[in-house]
Amino acid sequence: MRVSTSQIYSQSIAGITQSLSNYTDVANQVSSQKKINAPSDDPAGMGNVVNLRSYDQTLESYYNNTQLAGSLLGTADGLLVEASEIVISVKEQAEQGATGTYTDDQANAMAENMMAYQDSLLAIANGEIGNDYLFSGEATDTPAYEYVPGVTVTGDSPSKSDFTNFTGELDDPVIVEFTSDGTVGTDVVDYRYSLDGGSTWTTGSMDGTAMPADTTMELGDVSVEMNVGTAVSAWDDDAKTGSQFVVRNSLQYNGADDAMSIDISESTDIDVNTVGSDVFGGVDADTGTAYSDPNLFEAISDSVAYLWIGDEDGVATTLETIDDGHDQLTIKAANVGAREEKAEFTSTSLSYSRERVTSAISDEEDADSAALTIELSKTEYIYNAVLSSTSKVINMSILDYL
Amino acid sequence: MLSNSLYIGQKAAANAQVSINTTSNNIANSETEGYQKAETVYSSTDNINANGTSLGTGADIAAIQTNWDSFIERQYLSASADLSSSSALYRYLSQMDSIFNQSDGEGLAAALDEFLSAWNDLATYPDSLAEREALFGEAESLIYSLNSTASELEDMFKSVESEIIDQVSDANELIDSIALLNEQIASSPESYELISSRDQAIRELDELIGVEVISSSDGQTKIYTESGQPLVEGGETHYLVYSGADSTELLQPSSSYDGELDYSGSSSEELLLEFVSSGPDGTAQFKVSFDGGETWEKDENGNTLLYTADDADGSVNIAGVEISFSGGTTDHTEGDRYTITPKTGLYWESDSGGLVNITPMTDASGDDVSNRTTSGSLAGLFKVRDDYIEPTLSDLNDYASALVWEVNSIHSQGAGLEAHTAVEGSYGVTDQTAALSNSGLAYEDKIESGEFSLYTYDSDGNLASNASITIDPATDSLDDVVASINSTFAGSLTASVNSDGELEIQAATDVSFEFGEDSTGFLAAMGVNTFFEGSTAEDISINSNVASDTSNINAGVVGDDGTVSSGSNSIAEAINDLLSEVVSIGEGTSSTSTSLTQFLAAMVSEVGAAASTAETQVICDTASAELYAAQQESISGVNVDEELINLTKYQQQYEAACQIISVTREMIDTILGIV
Repeated sequence: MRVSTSQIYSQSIAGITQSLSNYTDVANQVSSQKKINAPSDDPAGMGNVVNLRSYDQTLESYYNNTQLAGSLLGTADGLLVEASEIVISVKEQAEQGATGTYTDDQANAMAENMMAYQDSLLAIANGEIGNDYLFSGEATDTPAYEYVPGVTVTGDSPSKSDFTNFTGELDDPVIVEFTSDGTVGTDVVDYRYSLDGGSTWTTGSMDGTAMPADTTMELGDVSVEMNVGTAVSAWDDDAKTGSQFVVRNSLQYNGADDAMSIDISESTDIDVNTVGSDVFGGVDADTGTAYSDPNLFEAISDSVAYLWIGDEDGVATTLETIDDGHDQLTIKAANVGAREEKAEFTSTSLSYSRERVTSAISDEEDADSAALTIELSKTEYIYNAVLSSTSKVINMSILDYL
Repeated sequence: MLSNSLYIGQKAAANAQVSINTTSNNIANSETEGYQKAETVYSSTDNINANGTSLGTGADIAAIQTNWDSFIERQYLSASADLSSSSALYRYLSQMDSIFNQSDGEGLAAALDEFLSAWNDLATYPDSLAEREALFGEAESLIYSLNSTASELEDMFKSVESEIIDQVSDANELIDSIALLNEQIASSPESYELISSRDQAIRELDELIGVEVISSSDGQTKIYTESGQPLVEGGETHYLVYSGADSTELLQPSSSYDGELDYSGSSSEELLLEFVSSGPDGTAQFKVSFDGGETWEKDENGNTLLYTADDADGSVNIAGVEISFSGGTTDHTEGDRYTITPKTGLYWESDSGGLVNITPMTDASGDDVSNRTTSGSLAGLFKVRDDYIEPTLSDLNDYASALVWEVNSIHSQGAGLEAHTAVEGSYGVTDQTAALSNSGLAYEDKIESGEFSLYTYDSDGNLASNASITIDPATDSLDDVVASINSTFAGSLTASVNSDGELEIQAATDVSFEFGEDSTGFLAAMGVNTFFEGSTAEDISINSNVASDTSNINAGVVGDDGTVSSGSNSIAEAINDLLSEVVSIGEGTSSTSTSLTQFLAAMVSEVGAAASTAETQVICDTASAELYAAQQESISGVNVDEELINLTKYQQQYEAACQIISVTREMIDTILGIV
């Protein structure tokens, strides 16, 4: 075929451009180490990479969640093991208090000891990691428990439900005995109370005939309000009959009723903290009544009250609940352990999944380094060849021979 | 005899000079675009009879011819028009390709992943301000990605349109100059320079819009578009026109319909409506085609979609165009056709000044529809505008709209760290007395029947009241809802509609409130207690209430007891679940159910595939155009070496001719010496 001069030049230029463009394409892949550098390089591959990367991100979120769950639950687990040990001591103390006869001082000392255990349990129940409480359920910013005054009825009457309201803060328990029979809100009811475990007594009375009727007992730092219509009778210390009760600290649960849960896979979530009342019981902040048995905290409070007045039989009645409460605590601790296990297991399987996804992404978009190096040498060689042949062709002219 | 020889020598010398001139001209023009190599054609002059012998009288130059193969040229023109179409297409698609590049964890997809994952981080620490700030940052990145992608597409759209305008005026200039050259060639048919100029002008026109060339005997040419409209016929010209939206009607001869078709909105599609039943407005039904009647739009079950012709209140929305009829007192007739071109397009101007639509059009499978421009860079530009940039922009807007709706409808049912004392919606109604489903809200179609709940709190943050507001979008107007809130929460909440048509709720002194579960989507549709504002990729932004204080990001919900726990995280979890949740994206027949990520992945693949196909097409078209160009160049191009040889040849011819004269003169001298 006849070739025109401009054809020689334009073809040479086209050849140089083409081979240089191939060379830079490969050089680009070498520098990024990726074979997909724009959607058009592999449209389906890029689509897959987008989907896979999003999936990987999801897995990463779940993985991080399992790690968080693991650390929260691990801490809670440790705290519950500690709590369990304290409850064993509580049981031993209660068992000791329930058998044999002790002097008032000995009984008081045992009660003090029990209250110390109560303090330790409160500290555990209010355990936190960072700023988040572990046993408050969703209400992570609220301490799970606080001391509020509560009552243990140590005589025949009144019943627990006859007390409507407690105000004030309590240090040691207060023993209260009625010294006259009558009906609260109707009659003048006399009582006496002791702030020091029965050594000294102070008297008081509720005048039910006054308008409005006085239904509140002032007991040092705390005041106790009773239902109108509650029948009381004078306490007979020898026969142990009549109306007597002890005002001591209850533990009120201020947390939420639902645990905070986070997703650890598309279909499963995990409770990362615990609803304290399920574990420890205590008193419901909304209603002011104790949670249903086994209510460990309330049983310990009762035990403190019985020890305080030196009532061995009374202490004995709390033993079973403390025992059940301990079982409940152990079960919940096991449950926390199981969740921790689940988080760890899921975390392991998620990290395997992530490895697979990462390798799938790599298969799609990462360049084969060895092949790329060879390809680069090839395109470089071609470019050089084109340059060399071009320089020869454009140098040729018949003028050299004319 | 001798005088004949002298005459032959003289002519030969003159011929050699002409040839040298032609050769020199060839060398001088070796780099001139479109120059056709010229050759002198010699022909022997008649013999004379002397003394019974026939003698030659030398040679004349019969013509100076250019070398040009019109058959190769015809093939070249076709290949070249295809090439300029596909390279115009590729030029813009490669830009889109880089806009949608998602490699190396960059781009929209990564921004979405990061944004939704940030909600997971918030779910693990619902009351942490640090996580909220981080989430806010991710949201801003996502919005930036969406805004910038949309504006880059918009800019591309504008630059395509201005390029089209330039090319149409270039084409019209070329049409003028070809007609002028035609006239000049008619008066001096010998001028090979004029012919090669015209051939070059035709090539340039063909690169803009594919043409057919027919040469007539007088040397003039006629130039037609691929769809058969004449652009140049001798000295006559027809211009191309770039014109705005238009609609035409083609009624059956028996049709007596006297109303008008009205439309508003714009679309990249061209709509052909054909009535399938006769009847008045409100009864007669029509079907619609986007490819000039080759196929008709179908629903998901494969049945042809039918729309009812009606007045403005019953208008139908097809591909973003609102269509209604007005003023009709008589019946539509089956077979009546209307064409709506709700976009600017390319038209051919007829003798009478009427415009014929030759805007490139492709059917659903992307093939060119006949009777329209299919090649030349104008075709490529229109295709990239109507088939890629506009649909991609609309996909991106659908995607942004779905993202806004999904996040907002979850977020609007949640509670932040502090209860509200006043809220203002971000979406306004155009008519506060109209039913919500027809109130002009951006998300009016998303509102469903049901109820949403409100909780009010006293100054100590204790629950004061809670109640639900019932909504039926088909009957309740915004005013009705406002009245319902005001009567339900009299004394504690005051709802009103501001001048922008937005809902406002103001709490009384010492009262605060939270929103609860909403089965209607009303709160999200009004933009109350939402995370995003806007409804497209261009106007999406973070709700100003959230932007001003990140504690207004809702991570949790109002619990059963009416309060919000600090660890409540169900909203954050639900939004994080959008990573894989299947949602509805787009409206009407174009809506799809897929996850946000998959939709984006499909969009990216689509752009990538289009760019990749266009690249291949450019390579193929370049190969064939180059083949024909090389063949033509091989015939008409100048080879300087060849011309140098010719130059030498003609120089020697000249020397020889001079030698003839010299020899003859000596012979004459000899004769005269004898005498």
